[in-house]
Amino acid sequence: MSNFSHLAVNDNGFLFDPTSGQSFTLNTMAQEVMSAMKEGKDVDQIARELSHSYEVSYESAYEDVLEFGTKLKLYGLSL
Amino acid sequence: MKVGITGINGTDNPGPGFAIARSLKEADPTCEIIGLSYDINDPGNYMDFIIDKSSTLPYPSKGAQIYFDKLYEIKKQFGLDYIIPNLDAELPLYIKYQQELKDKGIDSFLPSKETFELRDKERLLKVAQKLGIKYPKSACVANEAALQETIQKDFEFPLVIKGRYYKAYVVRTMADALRRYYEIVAEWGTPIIVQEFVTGDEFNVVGIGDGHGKSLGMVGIKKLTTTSIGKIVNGVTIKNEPMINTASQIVEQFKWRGPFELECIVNQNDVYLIEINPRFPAWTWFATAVGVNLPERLIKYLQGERVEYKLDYPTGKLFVRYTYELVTDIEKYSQLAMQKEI
Amino acid sequence: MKKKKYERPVIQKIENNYYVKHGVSARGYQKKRESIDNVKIADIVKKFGSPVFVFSEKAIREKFKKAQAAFKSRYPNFQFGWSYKTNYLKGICSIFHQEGAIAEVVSDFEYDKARALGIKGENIIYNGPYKSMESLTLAASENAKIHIDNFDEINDLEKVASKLDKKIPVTIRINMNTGIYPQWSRFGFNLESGQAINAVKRIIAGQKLLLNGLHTHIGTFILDPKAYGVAASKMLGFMDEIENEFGLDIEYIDLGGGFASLSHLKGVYQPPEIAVPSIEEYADEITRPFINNKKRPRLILETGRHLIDEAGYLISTIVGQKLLCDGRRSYIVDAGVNFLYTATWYTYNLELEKDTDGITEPSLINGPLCMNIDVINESIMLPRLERGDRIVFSPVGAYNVTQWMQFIRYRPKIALIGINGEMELLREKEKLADVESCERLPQRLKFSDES
Repeated sequence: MSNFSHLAVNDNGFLFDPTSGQSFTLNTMAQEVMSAMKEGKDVDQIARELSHSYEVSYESAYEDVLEFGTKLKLYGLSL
Repeated sequence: MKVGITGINGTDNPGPGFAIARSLKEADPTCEIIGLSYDINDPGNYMDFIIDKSSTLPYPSKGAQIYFDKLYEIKKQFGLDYIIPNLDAELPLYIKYQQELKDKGIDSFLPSKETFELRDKERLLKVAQKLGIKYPKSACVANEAALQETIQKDFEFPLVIKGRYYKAYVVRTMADALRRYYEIVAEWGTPIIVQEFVTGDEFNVVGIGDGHGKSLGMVGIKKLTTTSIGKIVNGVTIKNEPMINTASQIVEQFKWRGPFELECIVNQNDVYLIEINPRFPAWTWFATAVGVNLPERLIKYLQGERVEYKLDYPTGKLFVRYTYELVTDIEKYSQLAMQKEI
Repeated sequence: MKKKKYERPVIQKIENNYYVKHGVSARGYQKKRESIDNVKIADIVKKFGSPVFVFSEKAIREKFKKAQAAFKSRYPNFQFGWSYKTNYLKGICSIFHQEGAIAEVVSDFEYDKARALGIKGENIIYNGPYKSMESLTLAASENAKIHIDNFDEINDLEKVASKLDKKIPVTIRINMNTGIYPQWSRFGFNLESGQAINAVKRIIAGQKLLLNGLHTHIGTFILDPKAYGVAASKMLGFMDEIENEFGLDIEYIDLGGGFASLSHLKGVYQPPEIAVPSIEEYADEITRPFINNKKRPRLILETGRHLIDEAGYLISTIVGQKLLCDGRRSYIVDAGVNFLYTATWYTYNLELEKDTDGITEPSLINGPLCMNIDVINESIMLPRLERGDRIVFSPVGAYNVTQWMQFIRYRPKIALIGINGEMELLREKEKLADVESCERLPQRLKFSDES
């Protein structure tokens, strides 16, 4: 589902895409969502996991993951 | 000794920061330079051979408190004994708060509010009159109709279209004048100054006034070639009497305090005042290289050293500016973006 | 198992100017405000709802006292007029009147307002480019200080004088070049062209009016105090000239207003604390020519914005947010340009009630109107905010609660934080009945969904 499987985020939350030369910054939650996406999990599954481990409702997490996906799309980071 | 320096920006309009950092390092290699920028792309952020630490600052337009809190944080974490601000846009902030900065242990040597305002092109006429030199005929306009009317009534082409603080273009037709007018207005707003184009040799002086009428040194040059926006490419040191007299008069009569750059046009014995910049110019290292290290003298003066400096530098020294590249890692860029300092 | 603290996932491209210029962390760059005069924002909202305008009585009184002292200490023959148009809430006007300001009004509506508040006609300056015959008659019969704007008004006032069978004392408004752009030339009589002296001659020739004051108002948000020095010198020069030539006795010179407040005018680079002169700087420039003049008439100023702007806040609440297609985040708040009319010209301070951290995003603040122009801040870096978060805008004390509009929403409550921290209401939230009280529905248009 993604074309960012080759990308790695450093300790600072900094992501450099060597194919496009673009740089990004991610907070820890974004890094976690991104790894989940890399593993091929879908929105529903990620939202369930987040609401299980974090102080967030399933609905709210679902909305956030969905929006995160939109943002990746805007940045040309997902197919 | 730790010195903060702003204006470490590059591109077509080089900032004065590098010249100052280089001068201070040459005087005392143990001196530590903190490069302060408003843009993580500024080259100074990555020039670790003259700049020891880089940090980004919030824009002065964000307000004094947020701005200076950041400086105090740098002082706390890294140390900061002196600061040499070099950009026109930030100087009003430093001038207003210099005592507070000093109380917090960050000393600076800046013009007073009154002398700073002399750079305002609307006030230069009065400066020229006081110095007994000429000022090109000028008029302020605030709209297109006034621009056309003023030019038709009082001026001849070619003439100069100038922003109040930045930008100046020589124009030869009304269409050209209008184009430049709108270009400057879009960036810097009104009023715009229409100015007579005076011919002659353009001379520049860099110097420091001690605030009591004496100079901590000055060097005069003629720009031989410049870029399209008037920045020096090649230049030569000179000693032109009317020019040096004018610079000395500025230091004496206005009790100038801090660094300055004088721009004037000399035609025979007529001296026309063009600009006074209340800060070091980007070519300050030229003076250092011919034996007049002004940034070093400024810091020493702040440290209490009192020396009578004579006007003493060789003429005929040639300045050649070139570009230089370096390669570093994108990690540094990321660190500056995220943590605002390297 | 205890759940971990959640933070919304944020990814931001380091590309646009904001990031390159400001870095991506919110730490240190965001202003915070938990209270106004030690009264918690949360308590204010609990009592009055959101949005709500809040005025600080302490700030108003302190500012007025400071300005009054700046002028009176230099030139004792001084008087402030409260500029009603800047803020004509009864509570606000009353504070200024208690502090000693007279009233300055610019329309019959404002004149009525000042009278209803108990201000005597003689303590009202009546300005403005249009004054109806009725209001001129009323003002003249009540001995108000009438400031003439144009030749038609001279004619009108002479008719009033005949009707009332009395000689009416008047002031003329003058405009002039003080080096300020733009020059306000549409109000009053021009000095340099000779129009002002012609107006004086006309008034003397008519024999029905008595010229005893001069007025000018050089512009608005004037950042160069020297312009006032020029205005003061020119006005005093004109006074001396007409007194010598026509044997007049000018009692006062009114230099209007236009002092800047600590608001950030769009297009001005420097922050207000640098760009805006202090009241002492204005006072120095204005009083110097008065002190040096042989005759020293009373000096009147009616500088509204400077006195009230910083005392006013608007507390609003985020009611929604969305990601725009260019990657920016739009926050919708419950107050827009309908209440913050001056957002067109000024960028307000934006303060958050709570602490924030994390990655900042390029954001804009939109109001609740169904109009594309409803933007309060078109470009600001903000950490991710939540629905229900409070945003405090300031300074908004000048003009907003007079120029605001009742467009599709009820105008909100206006509160005053009293000297002792008491929370008082200055204006109720509008109701349907308030808005419709002036409407009339013809019988034949009456409609019922029942039938």
